[in-house]
Amino acid sequence: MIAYAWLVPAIPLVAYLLLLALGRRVHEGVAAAIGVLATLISLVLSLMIFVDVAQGGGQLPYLWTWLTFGPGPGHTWQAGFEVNSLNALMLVVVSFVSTLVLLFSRGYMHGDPRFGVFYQYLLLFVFSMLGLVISPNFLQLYVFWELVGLCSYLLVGFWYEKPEAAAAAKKSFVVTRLGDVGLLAGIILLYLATGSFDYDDIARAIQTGGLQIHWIGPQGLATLGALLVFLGAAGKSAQFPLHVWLPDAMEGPTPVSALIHAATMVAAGVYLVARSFALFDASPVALDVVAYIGGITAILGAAIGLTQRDIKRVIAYSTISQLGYMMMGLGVAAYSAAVFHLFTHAFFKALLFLAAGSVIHAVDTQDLGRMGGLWRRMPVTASTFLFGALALSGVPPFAGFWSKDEILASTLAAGRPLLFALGMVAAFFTAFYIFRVFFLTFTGRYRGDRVPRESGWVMTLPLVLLALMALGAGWAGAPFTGYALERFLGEPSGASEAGAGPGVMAISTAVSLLGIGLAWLMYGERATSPEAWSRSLWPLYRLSFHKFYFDELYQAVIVRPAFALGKAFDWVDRRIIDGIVRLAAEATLAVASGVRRIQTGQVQTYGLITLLGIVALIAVSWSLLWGVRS
Amino acid sequence: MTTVLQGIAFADAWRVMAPEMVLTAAGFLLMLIDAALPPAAKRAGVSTGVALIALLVAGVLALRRFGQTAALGPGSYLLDDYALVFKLLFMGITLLILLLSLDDHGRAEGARGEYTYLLLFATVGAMVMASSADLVTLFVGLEILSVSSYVLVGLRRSSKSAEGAMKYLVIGAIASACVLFGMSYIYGVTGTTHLAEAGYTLFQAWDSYRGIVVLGLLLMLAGFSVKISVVPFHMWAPDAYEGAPTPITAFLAAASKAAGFAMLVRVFLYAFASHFPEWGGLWVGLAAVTMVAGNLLAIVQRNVKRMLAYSSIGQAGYLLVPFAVLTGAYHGGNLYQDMSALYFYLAAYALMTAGAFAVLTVVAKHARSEDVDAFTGLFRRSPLLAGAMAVFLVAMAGMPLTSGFAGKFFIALGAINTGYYWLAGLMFLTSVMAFAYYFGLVRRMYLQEPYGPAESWRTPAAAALVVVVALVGTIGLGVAPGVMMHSLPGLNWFGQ
Amino acid sequence: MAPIGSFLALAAILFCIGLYGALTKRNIIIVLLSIELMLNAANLNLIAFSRLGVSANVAGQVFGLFSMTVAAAEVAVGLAILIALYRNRNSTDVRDMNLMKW
Repeated sequence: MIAYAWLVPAIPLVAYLLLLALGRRVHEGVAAAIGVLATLISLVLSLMIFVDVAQGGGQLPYLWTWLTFGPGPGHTWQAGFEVNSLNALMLVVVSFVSTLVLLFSRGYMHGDPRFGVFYQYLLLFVFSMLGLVISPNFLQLYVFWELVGLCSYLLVGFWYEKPEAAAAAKKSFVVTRLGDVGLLAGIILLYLATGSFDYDDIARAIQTGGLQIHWIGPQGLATLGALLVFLGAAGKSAQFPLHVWLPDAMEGPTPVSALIHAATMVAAGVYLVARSFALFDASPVALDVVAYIGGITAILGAAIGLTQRDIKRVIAYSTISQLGYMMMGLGVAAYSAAVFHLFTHAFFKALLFLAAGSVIHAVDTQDLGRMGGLWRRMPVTASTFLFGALALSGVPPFAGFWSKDEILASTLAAGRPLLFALGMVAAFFTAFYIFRVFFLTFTGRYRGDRVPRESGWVMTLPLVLLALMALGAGWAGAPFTGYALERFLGEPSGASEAGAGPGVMAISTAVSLLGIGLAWLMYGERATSPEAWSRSLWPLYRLSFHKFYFDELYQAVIVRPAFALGKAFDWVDRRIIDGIVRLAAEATLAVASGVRRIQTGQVQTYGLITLLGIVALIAVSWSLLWGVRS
Repeated sequence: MTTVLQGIAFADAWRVMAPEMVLTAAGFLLMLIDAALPPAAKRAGVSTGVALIALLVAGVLALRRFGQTAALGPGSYLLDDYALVFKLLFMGITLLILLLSLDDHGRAEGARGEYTYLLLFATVGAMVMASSADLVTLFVGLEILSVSSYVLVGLRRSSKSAEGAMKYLVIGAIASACVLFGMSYIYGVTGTTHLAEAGYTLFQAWDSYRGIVVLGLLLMLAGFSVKISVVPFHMWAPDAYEGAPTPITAFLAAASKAAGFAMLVRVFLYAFASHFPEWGGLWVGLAAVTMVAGNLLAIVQRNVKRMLAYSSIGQAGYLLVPFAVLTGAYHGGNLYQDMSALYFYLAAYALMTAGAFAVLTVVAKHARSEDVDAFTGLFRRSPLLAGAMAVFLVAMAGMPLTSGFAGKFFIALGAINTGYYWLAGLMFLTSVMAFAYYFGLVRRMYLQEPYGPAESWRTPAAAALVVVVALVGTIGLGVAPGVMMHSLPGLNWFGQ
Repeated sequence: MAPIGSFLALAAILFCIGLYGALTKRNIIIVLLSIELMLNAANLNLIAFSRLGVSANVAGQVFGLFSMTVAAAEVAVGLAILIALYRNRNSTDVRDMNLMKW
């Protein structure tokens, strides 16, 4: 089955082309059926591949030569696909979440005039994401990396008639591009040093000390390469300081947020770091950078999430924070713990987004202040959201508990108490903010004006399935199953793992329950007023509410100067460069108009010029053959 | 019963030149049919059908010969992979041209039998040129192609057509005379018309008869240059291209030029290669001048056919680069790499040329004009034609992900590998110039409203097929150039 | 027997005369005839070489036969095109072929 892994991305691509051929006016049901069917086939294939990998272990990549432009391996670029335990797992996660999101969108996007286009974009995204996952080398990964970025841009700006959506799409594209430039530079650097784009070739070159480039030593090269790659990963995975685009990306339709900005594309950065772990492992500095950036992102995202009033933004900041956890895990060399968290997070975060989407669909607002008391009216949505919230908070036996604990335990085992502390505080925040959302949305009195109704089965079925995964997905890596997932993934050399002991488990459970309890006191029981807290802690509250002023900071420090510089260059460009270009163009035209006069239309002139050509040839060869020598 | 031709058994002849024999027989058959059939039946495209079948049969026969080597006579007519790849290219182009000549109802344009069989004879001439290793057969092949082409150019019932044919004939015949005169000198000095032997003897005659050898080779070179329209031997081309029926223009631009290159390589690389290092500069200079002049003059044209004619002159400049690099390679050019690059670009160029002229044929038929104005707002009239034309144009200019880019890339790589950096730079520069005029046309097709009523234009099925085949080839070779580029060096080029 | 040099010189002179005629004469028929002269100059070369060349052999005469046939075909086609042109233009003057230029 592994030899046919290319079918997994190919089928959504075929579906995409089919929808493209059918055009914009395609019936909603047909578009959704094609989309869901395609992703479902991909899911089945992925599961079969997964089983094969579990039984047979890793496989050599399947490659064919795409381009040869000279002798030697460095002048041959290959394309193909590979399947190993890491990307077999990713295939399953991506195709599973995609299937459910495409099903969900049938209800959520119902009645949208560009329904068919939405499915086209989604299928193109699914193709690109699956292609990214099975890419065997950096070059191919980069192609798909940009493709998913493009899809994200198209989907965030799907309602482009809203100015916020258009601006958000632009912002997400520009900020991630910033990271992509780093990634591209890193890929080129590694190619120059090793003559290969292949992950394994590069890893081998590092291990044998074969990294060579004259202006930098092998160690420095590994660090620089790893950091540049990480820059790309940080952009895609919304790590501090490039995290600012993800909350804005919530302007896109909610299924998009669930699929792209929670479960799959934003995890691509984590996947990239995991896939090229050998590179990071060669450089302690790079690993430390990854770990601390991850830690900072985890606490920063959680802290901002505390005070946001928009339901999707809270979950978006939560995503940033959780991605920070994963990076932190990779940074302390807890490879499988980080991948494990990626795995569980995909399910419960997609669940939270889709449940939020169901709520938004029902009440037609994203403002937490205009919700409330939905528990009775939307019991399925509410209870599945609760599952997701418990999983995110890390309450046993839900999925998030097992994976998060493993990362926290690994930070401690790696001798990084600071990171452990950051993680614990972030965990407390996490439990608080997600239950704040839960209580504000589902308990108390309904504060909106539209009568909410439970969504139909196309929307609740994905919720229920994801809720089951949010409960059970963590068991794959729990102690009582003998860390099955970790054993499946296998440890790359250099990774260190620490199972969470009872102590860590107890502390983290207590912290989560504490956070949930505080949220209940404030927003459930109303025993203590949130307003009083925010007033007494107002500097902190304002910092959090204004997202630590990152947007304003970037506006002042980067965007404005960049615009000023742009204006200056614009002037130079218009007045000087364009002038030169125009002059060159006019000169070319003038010369051409002159030369064309030779073509008089008289055949004998043509013959004469041919004759002159012969004479010129003779003269030139004469001087070449006799003139130079004597 | 065994037929014997001048001491050559029929079986041997069949083995070496089966495709040529099939096409020749089909051509004569069509002459008979044309004389016998009533006009109504002629119009039904019977002759086109017969020609297509003959081409397919010949193509299959050629495909089955790959990897084999054989020769007729004392090695004067060769069967090797070099000849075969070119023959396949010629037959492929002719196939597309024949399809292009069918109209909406599958009927042959103008219902002229001679159109079809002359096209077949021209193809045979081109194929003979690719296989010949003897001055006599080479000259005969060249003349079969040329004479058929003169008539084909003049087939349109218009003043321009006859004028184009006459101009082509006068310049072409002068070129033939030059070639023949040059050949006579080479024969005189070496005492043989056989290329390989002549090359060997020339090596010895070089010192005593250098002047006459150089003169002979230069006259041949000039004659060949006329065929492939190298500047300054290109003057006939724009007028003949403009006057000819559009499918014939495509044939001249693609097949005739490819045949010229096949002959050029056979004579100057296969036979006389050892004499050429000193002349590298000559070829490089011709390539450079051709690139610049072709692209420069294309900018100012308003007739699209004429613009494509100049652009095809510019393309000949690019095609000369690998040849120039090989002859002048002081630093050891890679023969198989550069030959592959040349052939790749020839094939890519043939496809996009056929495609562009196919679009032009349809547009000109609807608009009754070949002016750029006919293309204005084409997107509203036929998205297929506009999209395809845009792809062909940017491919000619060398946009990445099209075959044009891949081909130019390989050619530039060969130039860089042998140290001709400035030539690669010039290729880039002329490519920029090409973008200027091609984008003007693309903008016209997409961003402007059509003149007159915006009725949609139907594309005949056969022409649509040509467009789609060319489109798939152009994009396919651009996305995955390796598919072709990797199989080419594996060929047994000259049967070594 | 005359030395080969004089044959070659005669051929070269004929070739040049032909070329001159092809490039200057106004009547298309004369132009075609001049081109014939060029081809025949080449034939003269071939025959001379095949009889008196460094390594004289029969190949040159065979080549000459082929080239005569080719020349005949060329002129036939040329005259046919000329007739078509004359029908359109009512003129055999080279200078009147000026519909297409630049």
